[in-house]
Amino acid sequence: MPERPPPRYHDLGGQEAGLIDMEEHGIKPWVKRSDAVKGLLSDKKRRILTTDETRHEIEIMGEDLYFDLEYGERRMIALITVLANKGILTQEEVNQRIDEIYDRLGIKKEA
Amino acid sequence: MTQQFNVGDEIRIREAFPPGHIRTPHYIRGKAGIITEVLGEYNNPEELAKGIRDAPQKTLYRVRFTQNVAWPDYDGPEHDTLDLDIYEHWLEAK
Repeated sequence: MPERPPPRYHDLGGQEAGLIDMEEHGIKPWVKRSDAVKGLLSDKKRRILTTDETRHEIEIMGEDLYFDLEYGERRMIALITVLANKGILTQEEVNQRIDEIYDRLGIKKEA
Repeated sequence: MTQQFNVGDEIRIREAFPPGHIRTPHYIRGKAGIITEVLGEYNNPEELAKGIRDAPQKTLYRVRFTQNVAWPDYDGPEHDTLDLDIYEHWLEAK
């Protein structure tokens, strides 16, 4: 019988996870907005990407990044990666826009 | 339209570990269950994950497992069950 490989890092079913955190966390506005953007990019009219493409990006972004990020952050990173892979935007453009927003809001960017 | 299985069929989940975006959980691969519902045909997420929208659709089934089959160390009641929605290409006749 062939060796059964371990599950990949994102395939967590059955692993020890402790008690469920029952606190309400709320959803940050940017997380809602990025989900809406993903919905528009994948709808019947635009068909620029599929939700499963972003899911796959989350599954290959690497274990360290995956567990460093929150749910909405993983999806955002995946969305940027999919769009960059398709040549629709570049990571540099995204970084530039982030810097502009920091400047506009007068916030110092964390290192 | 393909529908290889019917409600009541005893099946086994393929014990396969391909690369790519796979929605069949690792823990259930190789385990035996019974089909309780035929849910219809849907785009295959394994193809959608590659950006392919026009691949043939796959029939999706609701499959019931007993918890002590799903989890060998399960210590709850024997009649406890677990339902999973699994695409046809992950099922094989038992």
